[in-house]
Amino acid sequence: MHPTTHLRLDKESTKVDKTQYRAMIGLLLYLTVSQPDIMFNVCLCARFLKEPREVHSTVVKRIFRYLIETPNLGLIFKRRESFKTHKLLRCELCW
Amino acid sequence: MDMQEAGLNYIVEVEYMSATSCCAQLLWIKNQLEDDNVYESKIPIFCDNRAVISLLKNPILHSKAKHIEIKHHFIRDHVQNGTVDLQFVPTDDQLVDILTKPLTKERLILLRSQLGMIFVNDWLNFYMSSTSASKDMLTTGPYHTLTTFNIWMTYHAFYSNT
Repeated sequence: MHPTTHLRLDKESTKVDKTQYRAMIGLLLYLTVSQPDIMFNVCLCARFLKEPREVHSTVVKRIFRYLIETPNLGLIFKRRESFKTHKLLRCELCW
Repeated sequence: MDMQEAGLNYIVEVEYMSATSCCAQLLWIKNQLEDDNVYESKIPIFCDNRAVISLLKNPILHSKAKHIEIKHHFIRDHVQNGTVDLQFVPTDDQLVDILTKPLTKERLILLRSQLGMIFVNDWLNFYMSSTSASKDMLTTGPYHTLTTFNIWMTYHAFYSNT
């Protein structure tokens, strides 16, 4: 999302299918666990779940387009030398 | 008090409160780590407001900071006894912007890489050249989904060096 974009409740824009919008947001929220770079945009769009309009679903689709462009972007966890509890941390980080 | 000063006071208060809640989170994580025998001190908190840093490092009651509620002052103790270490960071280097602000493309790419997100291809090239792992891992395994790949990467980042 560009910094100049202001997403807000829009009564004029055409309505979109609520169920579909919720499904899309739910999917994206699940993805934010491994993709923190879309966190802000997804959470912003999630605020309009009650009254989703065309403008909101456009932004959501844009997030999907971003994800298609960056399919092999992932988080990397580097090992820190000073930690002595590798065994413990491993269990937590490997899910 | 003119309007500008009122606005500034307000910003300082908000930053102060966010520094405090950040400190609370840090103490919780610190407690958790102490259960695993990891002891940390001087944990850095990066703050982009110099006024807040000065207020916290100098434990004097300023008349300009009277409006901040007492419950937000508990971070001062931790700054004084060295649990946390407040550091100034310019707004341009503020990493958490990616979670709170809409960004331009260039900035998103920059902050995303600072978060530790990299393209798997780049990482694999680096990884393959530095270790003897076979490339079959990539082509034969069930790495169709992004999440699976992330788990795989995590697994190797941790197990390969030990």
